[in-house]
Amino acid sequence: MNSPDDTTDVSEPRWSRLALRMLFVQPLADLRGMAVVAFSLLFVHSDIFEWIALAAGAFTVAISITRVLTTRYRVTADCLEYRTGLIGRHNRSLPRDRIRVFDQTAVLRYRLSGLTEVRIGAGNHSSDGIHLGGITRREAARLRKLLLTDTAAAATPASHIPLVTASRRWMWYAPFTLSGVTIALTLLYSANHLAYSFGVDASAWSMAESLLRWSTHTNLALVLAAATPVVVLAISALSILGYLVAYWGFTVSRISDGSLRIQRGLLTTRSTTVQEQRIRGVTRNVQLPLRIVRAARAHLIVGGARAHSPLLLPSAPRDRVHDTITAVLGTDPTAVPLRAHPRAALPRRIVRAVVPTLLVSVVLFWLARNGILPSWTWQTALCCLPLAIALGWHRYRTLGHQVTDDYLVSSGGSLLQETAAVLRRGVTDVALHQTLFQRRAGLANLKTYVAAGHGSYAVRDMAHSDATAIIDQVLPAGVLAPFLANSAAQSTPPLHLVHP
Amino acid sequence: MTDALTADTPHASLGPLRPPTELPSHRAIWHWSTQAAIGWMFVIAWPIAASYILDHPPAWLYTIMTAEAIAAVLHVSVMPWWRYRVHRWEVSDEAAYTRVGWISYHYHIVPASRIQTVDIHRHALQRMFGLATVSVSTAHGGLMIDGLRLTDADQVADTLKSIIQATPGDAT
Repeated sequence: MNSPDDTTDVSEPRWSRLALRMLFVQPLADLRGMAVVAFSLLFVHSDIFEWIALAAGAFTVAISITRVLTTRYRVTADCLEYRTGLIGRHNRSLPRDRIRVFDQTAVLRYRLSGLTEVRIGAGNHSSDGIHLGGITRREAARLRKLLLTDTAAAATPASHIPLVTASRRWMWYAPFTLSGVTIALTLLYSANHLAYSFGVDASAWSMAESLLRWSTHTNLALVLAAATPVVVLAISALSILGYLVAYWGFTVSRISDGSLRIQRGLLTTRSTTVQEQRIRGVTRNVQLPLRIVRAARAHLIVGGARAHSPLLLPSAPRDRVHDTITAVLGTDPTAVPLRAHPRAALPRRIVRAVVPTLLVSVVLFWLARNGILPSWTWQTALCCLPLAIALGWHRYRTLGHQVTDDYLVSSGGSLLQETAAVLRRGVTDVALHQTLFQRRAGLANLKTYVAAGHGSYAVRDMAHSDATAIIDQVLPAGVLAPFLANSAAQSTPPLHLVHP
Repeated sequence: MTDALTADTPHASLGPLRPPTELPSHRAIWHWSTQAAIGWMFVIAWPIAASYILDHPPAWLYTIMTAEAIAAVLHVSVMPWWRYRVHRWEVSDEAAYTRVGWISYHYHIVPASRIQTVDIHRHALQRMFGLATVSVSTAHGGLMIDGLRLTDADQVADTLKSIIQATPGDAT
């Protein structure tokens, strides 16, 4: 039994176990993976197979029970220690001062049994978090309090200040995101997979082939006119459903111990707690359709866990995004007016949008000439050229950057426009990249490395001299000066290799 | 509190970067060309093998073979010399600074206070030429100083280590 004994002295910790309920929950979950095999065995009338299935089931149950029984953890004065396994033992310990993120999820089977699972992330590169599957919610709350606060502060109960609660109305933004399409594709893929396992040839290639054959002797315009509203409605409904399942009860609250908690989920509830001092910035992203309804999403850039950018706000009105970022950071760096990039960046954006379109058209034309594809395909691709030019132009228009007192803000992208604000003192090193064409145009791409979020954030196609000005502001004072072409400051290399 | 600069405030113009001062070893040229030649051998092997295996190899197979051979010869002979004109490095008390690339230039600056580890590594081909790479890593980034003689690499790594011991903090 887990022992959420609040009087436990931290200096003499006891080993805790997973909740006893896990002895039922875990085997059931593990057996579920075997359900398909068991189901198919029903059609094989053979004693041997039944015995094998039974033995495998018993083995699975035994393994899950051992895993539950042998998993132990404890919080010592400076470590979270974890061990599991009877035969192959795994011991792991995570220094408490390295703990950055406390992630709590409860899939349906845990929620029904009043349990939750917890992932505790540290600051190393590898995915080295400790995963505790199946502890009670009270125990999870105790661990969170214990691990994310100083032992002294833990004595006083932490208070919650809700910062943002998602409005039910925001679900109408869901059709303006790609989520509906993603869900539809996932469903199609699963259906396809199922059909395949029942012996129906439903590979993407054969589907496309039959669709193509069918399209050649049908009134395509009529079919499209009839199908489009149905498809759009279905995808919108899916996206709203997906939104409700994922973001039900979305709240961001500040806990008085200096951390931020983000909770969401209808079936699987998710609660992410991050230490505020680990926040290295924020990104605001706008998918093109969301732009039309003046909405955006926001993610945090959190230090420590690699590729960890927890969602700060799902699709919401622009000013609510602004309010949320301001509430969390004390300021909204993504709202500052940005400096546009030199005109020389425009041709580069347009070329990069137009050339792939042209290449696709040429390939389609060649395929059509050899009678593999109907000729309307390359004609359609060619008609997309003005769209490609518009895309390139828009991609240039969204390029921008700015340096504020604390943040480096950069923006770019068209179909997915992202504005990233990175804490200046969080930048570890910088890289400047120039292609042959960028050198001629006096442009450069600047990349800043941060030990948080995606790991690096780029400013594309800025003037080379602006880039050096930014480098000067994000790196510690005096580091850049000696490396400038027209600078009086001379670096005195401690190292000058001389070969006689 | 952060207050924004207005959008038309110009940055203090600092002008462009200058290249770092130090050159890689001359042997790096031969290392780069050997490396490129080995890479191309794998590419050209396929059409050659196909022309032996197939009973009636199509004509375009020979076109591909010729095109690849021309590209390989150009790459192996031009790239290393060009690269030698671009690759530069520099280590000062405050930072490590490199420029790498040939057609494209990559500049990288790592402040000494952000360096976490300094390593030397050499793969088999580098050992043949007596070369080594010094890699300087930060929490999520870092740079490599490529094409140094082993003795020089040791010296660079030692210098960097003594600098980072004298500088606190790593911004994580």
